[in-house]
Amino acid sequence: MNLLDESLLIRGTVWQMMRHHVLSILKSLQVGGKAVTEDDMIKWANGEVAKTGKSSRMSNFKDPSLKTSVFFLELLDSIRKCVDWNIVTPGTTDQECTQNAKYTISIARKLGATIFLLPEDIVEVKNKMILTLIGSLMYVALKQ
Amino acid sequence: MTEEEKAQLEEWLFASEGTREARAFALWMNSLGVDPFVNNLFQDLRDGLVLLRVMDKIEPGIVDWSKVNQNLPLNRFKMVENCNYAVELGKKLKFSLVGIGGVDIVDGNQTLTLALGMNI
Repeated sequence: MNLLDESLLIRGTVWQMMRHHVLSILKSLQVGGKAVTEDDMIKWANGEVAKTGKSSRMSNFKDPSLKTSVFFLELLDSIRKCVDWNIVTPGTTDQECTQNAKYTISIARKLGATIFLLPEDIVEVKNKMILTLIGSLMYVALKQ
Repeated sequence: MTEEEKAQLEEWLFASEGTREARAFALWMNSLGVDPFVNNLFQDLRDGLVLLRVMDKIEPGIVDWSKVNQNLPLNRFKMVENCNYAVELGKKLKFSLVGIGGVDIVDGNQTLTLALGMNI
């Protein structure tokens, strides 16, 4: 048996690095000279999507409608025209949602966003993980 | 990385095999532009080089590469040195890695427990 496979220490170190990175990205986001709040992030995301004339909105990071990833794809498309809507599913089943979530993550990577979450975190609407996604996208958009 | 290795990585990142945690680490590192591994994340992290590369991405300039053993293959002592250096940098960044040395990373000392999880 290989003890290294399950090494808590490596896992612990990587988690700490990841956590440090999430926090430093969130801390670097500023709105009006102040560090952003969760509300600022939600307002920003909704504003970006609204700008492109789309109607989807998120009410908070636990919003069940986020499950389909359609909101994230519209947000990505508003940051840079990059979504091929022929690939996007309506998200009526979990399988369709997962497909959209994978597509969301692929595009976010291509835009240079740091990825902290997995497709299943989106489908399960894990609020903290979704916060990291919006934070990363905001970071990329503000840097543009 | 060869094209074939990249394709393998891509497939693995989104495959449902592999623990959720390992895949999250891998996606994160990959999005930073660090290609972590092809086969086994934790196995491939133990030479300390990937950890240091990631460290350098999240805190640019923090790694003094002249202190890092980079000539592969690394023997165990060189791996430990690299891991010790990663731990030292972690302390600088105020990671809570109390009681951890590079040897523990290389040997995978499981008796030490760490607070896992992101308490943002």
